[in-house]
Amino acid sequence: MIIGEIIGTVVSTIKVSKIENSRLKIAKIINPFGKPTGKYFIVEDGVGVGIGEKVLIADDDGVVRKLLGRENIPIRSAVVAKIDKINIFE
Amino acid sequence: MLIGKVIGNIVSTAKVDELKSIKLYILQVYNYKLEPTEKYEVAVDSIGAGIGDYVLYCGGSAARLTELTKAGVPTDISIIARIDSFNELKNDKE
Repeated sequence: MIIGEIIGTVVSTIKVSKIENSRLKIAKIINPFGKPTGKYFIVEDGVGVGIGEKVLIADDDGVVRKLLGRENIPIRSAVVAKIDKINIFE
Repeated sequence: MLIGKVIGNIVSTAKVDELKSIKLYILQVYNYKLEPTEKYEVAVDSIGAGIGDYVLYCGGSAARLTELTKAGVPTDISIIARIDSFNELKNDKE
């Protein structure tokens, strides 16, 4: 799993019927120290997060199927947790 | 499977139900010479590792096959072993 920061949402009217109820957000990937890595993901929001919040992203299609309970959906990345605090000890 | 070092943890209250009461650790990825790289991962702790431990972690659907995660925990990275000792092979020509 990787750490991301939500920077926007995706609005789409014409889409595959299997993802009609999906809430899609744009996440900027950051390292644990808050530095952006340059990567961006479009993610399915499984928790309910807002713009500017740090989140945990699972990037594996089996995760999304378990999370949403839907088989064969064309989504790969999903938000599984909202991060309150990151502790680095070393 | 790859080698990582536990360098921190993540505190989270709003998360999917399956992740509740599961420990999330930040791993720094190490190479085969046990030198740190600039890559980081967040992993589910299946074995009870501690801060500063060198661990083995696996990714993909294999991460959902441990004792802790096979009940349907939505993760793609799991810590599966703690490294006690590490023998570097000396036949590396470089």
